[in-house]
Amino acid sequence: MKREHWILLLLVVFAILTLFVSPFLGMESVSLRQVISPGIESKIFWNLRVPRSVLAFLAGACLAMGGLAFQALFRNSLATPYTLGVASGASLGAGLFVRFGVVFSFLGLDGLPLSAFIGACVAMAMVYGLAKLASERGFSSFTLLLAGVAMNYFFSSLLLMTQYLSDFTKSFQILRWTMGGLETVGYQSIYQMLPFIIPGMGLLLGLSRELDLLLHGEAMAIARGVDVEKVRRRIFLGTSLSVGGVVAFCGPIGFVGLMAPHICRLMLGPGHARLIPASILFGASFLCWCDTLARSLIAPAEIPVGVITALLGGPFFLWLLVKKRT
Amino acid sequence: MNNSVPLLEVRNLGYRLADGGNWLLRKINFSLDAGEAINVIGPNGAGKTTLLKCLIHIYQASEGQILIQGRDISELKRKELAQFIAWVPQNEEDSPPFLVEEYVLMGRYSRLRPFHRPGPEDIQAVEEALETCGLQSFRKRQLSTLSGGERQKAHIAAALAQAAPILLLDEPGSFLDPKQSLEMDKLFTSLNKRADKPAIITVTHDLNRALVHATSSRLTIQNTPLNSNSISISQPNPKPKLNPTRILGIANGECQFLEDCDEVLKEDKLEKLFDRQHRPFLRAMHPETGQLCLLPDVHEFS
Repeated sequence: MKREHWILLLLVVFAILTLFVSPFLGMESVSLRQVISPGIESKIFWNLRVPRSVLAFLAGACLAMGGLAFQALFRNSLATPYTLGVASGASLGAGLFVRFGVVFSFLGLDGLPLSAFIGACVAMAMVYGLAKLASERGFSSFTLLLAGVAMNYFFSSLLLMTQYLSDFTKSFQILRWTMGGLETVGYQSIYQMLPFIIPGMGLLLGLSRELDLLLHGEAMAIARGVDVEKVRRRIFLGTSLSVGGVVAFCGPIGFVGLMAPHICRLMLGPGHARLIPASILFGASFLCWCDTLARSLIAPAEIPVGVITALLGGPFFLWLLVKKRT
Repeated sequence: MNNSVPLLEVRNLGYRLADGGNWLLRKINFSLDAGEAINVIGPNGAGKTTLLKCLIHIYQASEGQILIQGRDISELKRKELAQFIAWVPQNEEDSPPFLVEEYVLMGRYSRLRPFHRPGPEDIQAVEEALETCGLQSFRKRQLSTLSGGERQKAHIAAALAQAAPILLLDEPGSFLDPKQSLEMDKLFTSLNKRADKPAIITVTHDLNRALVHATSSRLTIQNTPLNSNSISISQPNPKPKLNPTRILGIANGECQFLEDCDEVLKEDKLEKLFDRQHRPFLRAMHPETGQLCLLPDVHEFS
């Protein structure tokens, strides 16, 4: 078996282990016997720990896949939905809802995730417009990244204003949302998330050859027969649904989409036939462990998981930036 | 297939960035049959690369038509078009670290079935392309670690694997040292000898390479005093014509001439194309082949 296959196999085993082990860990570790016998520990395990691990797993998978697709489309490992403004768009949507929103639900979805989802989609549509402009006028991906940074600032200042105009409780609620979190009771939010992430991931999964060719530039991809315009639309639609869905329910969790694909690339090389499964598995396991840390480090209190990923991701981002220049 | 329909036909092609913008390309007309070759020459910014990008539909023609076997390329799907035309871009410095064989296989994209592994004919096409370009020993090397010439060969191999009847080359010999440049020439010669050779459109700044199919022309040479003594030494040995190569001269986006090599070397066609009437090119006969070629401008330095 080739080295790449071993790494993939290892990632599969690691992901399965993560999914089975992480629910047992936390403020108080639960033993296998407690899980099977009825009691408070069993309730905690099945209604809090397991759904939380599953949620982290799914969220990590979607964030990594979205990041991978964007990195290939823009030929830049710093370009991910998160760095291009999706998180701040979703946060603004959520903030506006908390400040002004009337409580409503649509198709069984609460107003808060729905507003955040709309915010994410608005940001995504703006990035799409920019990306189209960039390919027509031949902007570099760094120009696009800077445009993403500018958009982040714009949304963030609007969010700050919203927060400033809110009362203390609402302001704190907004702040807490922007840190991202995977707290969940029962399986409801997972069920609500699935209609977004299943079609979204479905659109992204079959694109490995197209992403490979896009790494050589749009012109080359077109010349080899890729309908770049169609692929770009598919990537944006798929990412809006999957990453937008995750952000809507879990808040902005940064840097998973940046780190997971890049670490996999270092291990497996640039081919997307291997990178897609690897990034999904790695991202899923990685977020699951970050969340386990988040709820164990200063137990009984919890650290928002977005803080943990950003603490790891910030230095990683800098390292990538510096490495690229040398 | 109806023989009267050319493989590629360009009718009154024009391209500009926006309505009302400057024409980057205008009134280009030519047709190309299987196995033929056209070398495109002209000053910098004349629209040579733009022409190639129009042909693979990266740029959409603003006026006129491009027909492949009688079908307008704007009606073809990207994959269909890629089965007809393969493109080798100008040598780029940054390449993602794919292995050479992985990269060449990517040339098969338009012929691979989605969600299916590459079939035996795909593997065979890749092997043949690697062999033609002499890349077998480089197959496990990363694209990003290759030298300029090797990387250029990998680009050509990927385009050959695409198995398209038309091949577009954008300055294939530029930035290569003399040894690699010689290998590139050998590659194209061997390509030309193949029975299933593609029709090739080459954009180049190297006029002597573009005009390499000129036959010797004694009359013109005897008029130039510089070479009057070399004629007696050389034994003109005109090569058999490999393929009928025509020269397309473009300046300011417009076609200046489309003729065979011998015609282009006559009178002051090249001087007009490059706006050098005040300093004509020096022409000389090649001592080995007797072909007419252009000499470097040494007098500017002395």
